[in-house]
Amino acid sequence: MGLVGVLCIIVGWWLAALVISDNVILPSPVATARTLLHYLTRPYPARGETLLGDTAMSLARILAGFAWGALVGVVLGALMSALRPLRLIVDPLIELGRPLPPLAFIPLLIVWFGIGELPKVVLIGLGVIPIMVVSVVAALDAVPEEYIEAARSLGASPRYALLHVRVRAALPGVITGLRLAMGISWTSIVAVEMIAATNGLGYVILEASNYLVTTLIFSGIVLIAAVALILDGLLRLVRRLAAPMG
Amino acid sequence: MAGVHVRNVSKSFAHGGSIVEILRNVSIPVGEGEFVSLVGRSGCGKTTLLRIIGGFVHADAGSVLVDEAPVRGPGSDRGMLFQQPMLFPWLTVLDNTLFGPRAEGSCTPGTRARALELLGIVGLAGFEFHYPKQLSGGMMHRAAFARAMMVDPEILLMDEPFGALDALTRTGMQQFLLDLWERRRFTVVLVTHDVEEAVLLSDRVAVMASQPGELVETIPIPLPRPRTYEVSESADFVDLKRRVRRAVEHARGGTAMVGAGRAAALY
Ligand SMILES: Nc1ncnc2c1ncn2[C@@H]1O[C@H](COP(=O)(O)OP(=O)(O)OP(=O)(O)O)[C@@H](O)[C@H]1O
Ligand SMILES: [Mg+2]
Repeated sequence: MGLVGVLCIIVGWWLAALVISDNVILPSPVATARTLLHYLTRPYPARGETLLGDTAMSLARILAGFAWGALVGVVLGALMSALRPLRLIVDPLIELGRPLPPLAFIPLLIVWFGIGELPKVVLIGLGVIPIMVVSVVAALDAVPEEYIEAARSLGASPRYALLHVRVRAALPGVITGLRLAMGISWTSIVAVEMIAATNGLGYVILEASNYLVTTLIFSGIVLIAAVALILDGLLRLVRRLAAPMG
Repeated sequence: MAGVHVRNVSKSFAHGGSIVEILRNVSIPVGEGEFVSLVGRSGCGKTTLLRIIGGFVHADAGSVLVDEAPVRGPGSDRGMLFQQPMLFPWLTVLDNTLFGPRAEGSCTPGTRARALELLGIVGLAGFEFHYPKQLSGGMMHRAAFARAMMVDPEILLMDEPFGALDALTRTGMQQFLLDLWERRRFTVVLVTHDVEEAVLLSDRVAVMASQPGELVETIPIPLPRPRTYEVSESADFVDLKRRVRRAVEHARGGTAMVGAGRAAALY
């Protein structure tokens, strides 16, 4: 069923491209696909990188930033859920920081960390942390106390009940948090690659627009959508394993 | 098997700056293999008392003795059943049933066979590999019973275990509990709002007053055992029901606190 929506968009795109019939304003899906496939494994003339290479670059940054951000977020969230005082201290910080788009920090991160890989990976992590903290705290808080009591009266030690019931029961909620965090990671990476990078999909899109190669802009967007979809699909699969029957 | 001796238990909670007395000097001796129900108005402290027996809440004064030993925390000698079955949704029915032995590290080659046998007894043969969400409400409760029975508790503590079920399923579960109790003769403390349920199942019904929660009367139910639902049509049953209902009504307590739903359940 999900395919129907995608097909509708492609058909709509096609029709619009036919009506406009200007390859710079709106290239057709076919023209885009041709460009995409061509440069997937061949370097674009103006630069020495293939689309596949740029995709790999963006993906590597996302995975690195996502990994450290998720790790810090999960640990911090778990500690906050267990220790009330910590929650009282960190909660306002999260509330204060949440409305700030991570992108606002790009210039600062560049000043601090230069234009290498570090500021990009730091930025992604900064976007991921608050989302993971909020969803981990919410998921752990939502575990009914009766689950723990049932486990304890079945002979579980406090430690066993914590690991096998509280943490386990919170898992699906944490994975949903990971999916949300993955979304914000893409926002961060594309933005930072447009401002301070010489490769990656965000850079490809910006550069293509400088040269008015619209097919390449669309190729970049399609690649981002495809990779994001695959990553989300993986997380959804993990969630289904963690929560059988939904 | 073991009895439960609730001795002079008192409990207060801090509530918005003031201290509210919830239980005052409650004493209930429950004999080995005896079935005792706890009835009283909403908010009189029944759940709190059950949680004290379960070891999840500490009494301010008094003690709970199980086999002469004071309760210091939760333990597998006291099984707990709640209004919701509280099956772990990520485990199959069989794995839920095996949770206790696994948590205790007491699994032997025969454990799985015993779990399967127990699931057969509660009428869940063929559903061992289903997840809780695939079961009906009554089936979930029976699975919860099987899970609790797996660790051989000597005492079963139940907090309105059938309160969320429809009338027909509830009747079925009451019969199921009567049969299970005939087989095993564990000691039971059952909290319920349903006077009919209390009379049908119990050897004695303890009636509590509220604000603060105090034991006002313990009414023996000398109906013959083994019982079936038919006993509820006898004149003795109707008399006992009336007696319990009167006692609940006349017990001091915040009448205004009784919601319409709760009030309806009393009659
Ligand atoms: N942890 C707690 N902290 C503060 N007050 C509590 C706590 N637990 C229970 N109470 C209060 O104690 C009183 C008795 O609660 P309890 O749940 O034991 O009543 P109950 O008899 O089980 O009521 P119901 O029939 O509605 O289930 C209530 O007024 C409740 O607000
Ligand atoms: Mg209650």
